[in-house]
Amino acid sequence: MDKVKKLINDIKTPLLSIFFSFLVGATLIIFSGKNPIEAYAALFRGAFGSPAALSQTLNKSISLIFTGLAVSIAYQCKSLNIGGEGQLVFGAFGASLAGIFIKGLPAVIHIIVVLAVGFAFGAIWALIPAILKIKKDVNTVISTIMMNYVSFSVVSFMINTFFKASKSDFVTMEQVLDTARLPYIQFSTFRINSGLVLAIIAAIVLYIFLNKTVSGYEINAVGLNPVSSNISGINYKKNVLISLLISGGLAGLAGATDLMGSMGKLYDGYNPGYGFDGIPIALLAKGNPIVIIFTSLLFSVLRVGSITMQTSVGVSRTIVDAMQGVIILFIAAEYIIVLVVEAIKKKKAGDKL
Amino acid sequence: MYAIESIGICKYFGNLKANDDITIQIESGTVHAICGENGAGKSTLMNVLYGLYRPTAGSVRIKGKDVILNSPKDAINLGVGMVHQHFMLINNLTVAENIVLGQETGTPLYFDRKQAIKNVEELCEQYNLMVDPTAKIEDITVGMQQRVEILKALYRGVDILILDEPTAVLAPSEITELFENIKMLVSTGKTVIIITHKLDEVLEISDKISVLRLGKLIGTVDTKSVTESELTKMMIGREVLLGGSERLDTKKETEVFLAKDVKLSRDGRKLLNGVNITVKSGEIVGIAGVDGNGQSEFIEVISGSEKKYDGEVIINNKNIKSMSIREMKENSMGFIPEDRQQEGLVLDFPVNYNLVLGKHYLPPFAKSHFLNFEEINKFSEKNVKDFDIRVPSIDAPASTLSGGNQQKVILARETADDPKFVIAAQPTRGLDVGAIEYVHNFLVESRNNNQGILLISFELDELLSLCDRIYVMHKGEIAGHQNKEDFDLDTIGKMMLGLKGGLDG
Repeated sequence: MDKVKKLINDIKTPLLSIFFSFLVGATLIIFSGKNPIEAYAALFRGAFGSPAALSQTLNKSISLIFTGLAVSIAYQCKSLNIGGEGQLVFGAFGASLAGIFIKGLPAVIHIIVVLAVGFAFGAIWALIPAILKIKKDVNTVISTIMMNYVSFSVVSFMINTFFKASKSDFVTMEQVLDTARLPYIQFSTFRINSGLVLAIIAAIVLYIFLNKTVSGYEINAVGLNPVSSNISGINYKKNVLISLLISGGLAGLAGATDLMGSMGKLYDGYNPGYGFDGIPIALLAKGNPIVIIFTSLLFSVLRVGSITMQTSVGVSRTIVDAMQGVIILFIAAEYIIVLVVEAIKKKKAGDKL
Repeated sequence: MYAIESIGICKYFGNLKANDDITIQIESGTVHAICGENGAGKSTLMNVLYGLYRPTAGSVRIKGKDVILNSPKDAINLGVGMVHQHFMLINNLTVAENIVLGQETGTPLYFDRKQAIKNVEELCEQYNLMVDPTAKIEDITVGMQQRVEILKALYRGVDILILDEPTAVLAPSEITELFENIKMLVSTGKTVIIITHKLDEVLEISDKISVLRLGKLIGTVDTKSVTESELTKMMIGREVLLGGSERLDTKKETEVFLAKDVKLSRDGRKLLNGVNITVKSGEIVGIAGVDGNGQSEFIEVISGSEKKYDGEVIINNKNIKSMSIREMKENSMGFIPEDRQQEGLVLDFPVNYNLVLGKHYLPPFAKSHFLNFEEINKFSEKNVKDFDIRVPSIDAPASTLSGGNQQKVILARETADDPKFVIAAQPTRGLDVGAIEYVHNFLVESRNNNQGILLISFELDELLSLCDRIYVMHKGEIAGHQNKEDFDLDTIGKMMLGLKGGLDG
């Protein structure tokens, strides 16, 4: 009973914020002279309407799940990792290197190696903010966001100089080897990338890690009260480091799976924005890895469906950005909402009883 | 003439009767204390008198007239002011700005700061409560902040002042000052209601005392005609024996703790200046001293969170200098920190998680890196029962527990594996009498059990009744030392103030 109650309590505000985001979206659509019901119908048709649409939605969610998880684990230790995008790009770069230059491995092993390299590159990119935080107490919000731009530039430099594909009209790296491509699971037009399975496994593993293991316990303890954790012999620095490295690694995996699943080669200027989307995805799920699977799907529905909405009803797809903004606003305002609700409750108790 | 009366006040929260038919009449021009343990309903009653809660039944009468208070504003208009335990001040505004807040001088578009400062200065003069009107709140001491709160109420013209646990946040010298101020206010005709659970203070300051227990009024008595033990009995419903249970003879043979010439400086300030202390098994050794004489820093050093010290600290025959806190705990040490909420517990963690904090990685609580919830819960259920920790369930967050129960969680955890050496820093601070009795008994039992205990406390009575030996700390040095046979309040008091006269032993 209590668990059900707690669950309802946990998802109350997220559902409310989603509801209000659709409401605000509808208002904007009305102002632009279109019918919101029609527009939303198109949105969902675009996301679920056909096997092809559905597979596109699911495939888009792969990288979002990884970046959502990345934000989640850092947040458990109370560091906000806004650098998911930079770690993602760097992870994709590492995966691309491993996919091109490590040759002669059977597909299964090559995929594992490339994923591992992607994870490692993402983790390396989170290492600098982690060290700054541990040594000098530098806020990760600032350090990670600045590392984004360094990552974009470094990777761009590498692609433009040392690793530029020779026979290409675009500035891009070579195509990764076929053994490094994530296979598709296909039934006629329904075509899902196997990366989705990896993402779901990652979510489950992270859930178990955070809730059932000693390390997860320590990361949570440090996140909730670093002082008493330290006094009880839980190493603050170690846990901040671990959580940020895993966070960077997961963001790196987002880039690696995107490269190995859909793109195949890394173009100059690649920064898909998934790293930033990971922040509201994780916050909306309150950091729960399993719930992140679903919030990622929601964001992917909005992204994929909005294209159909634009082409068939003529509603600009930027409406979706506004809706995402509303969701973020609500998450940020949750504390205020809680306070208001408490105040009302108190008042009522005071009046009636 | 009564200043304020609570006539048959009832206040129910659901099934909980926080106040049950309480009638207290408070004479004007007196200090009236409301006593009771935590959860007795003192704060609820005051919130009713201050207009924060509406009573379920009964009425409030102010200066002989029945009144209905819809909000604190009504109460203030009728001359009732309240100073909460947690101050309602704005930190980055000045004293004067805080005092006039809501009744600013000048016009709606122009805030006349000079006039505000002048008004506040006059107010200070009038009541002889001195503050610097231009200082920022964040720069003044807690005692001063409290004075600002009182002035804020006086500025609004109140003549009935409710003080909620006013001494909880104050140092001893500040308490003396506060009491002088209260006496002065009463001499000008104000009425003061003071809520507290510290009996010695009640007896010192009040004219009349009302005791609440479990939401009911046990009685109102004249302070002159009552003793501390009678009051305790009213509050708890039984006799209470502080100072712990029977002391057995113990063999004080093993040295479990040794501090040798411990020195510590920060930013060029000498905080510890050669501290030498020993603790043997089977004894409670106290460190007395006025707050701020190096006790907190000494605790940091010996508990392992401050490593930049000189000298030696040996616990259970190991030098702790290069040991991590985890290694120290594994070396049979327990630590009850000063601030139970910030240092002792992870408040948002459930009780069972808190009960294994720091031992969570050891078998049986963890097996090959996975937590064993079955064992954790078994351990928690057992300790909740053994220590009589009042919890809704072991999954409830520690933040929902009362102070006494939170402290029991820490006691249970830190002594679960019978450590040879226990540091107890202010273990009874902020607890009510019943909980203090429990902690005292527990410490003496641990001592009888041949554990060595280092007790750091600001309560001299506590140290005198519990300790086998007492060291007195003054300005980062050991100013003196006494054995139980020679305990002398006067001498220890002098040593605490840095006066000569203590015999080194």
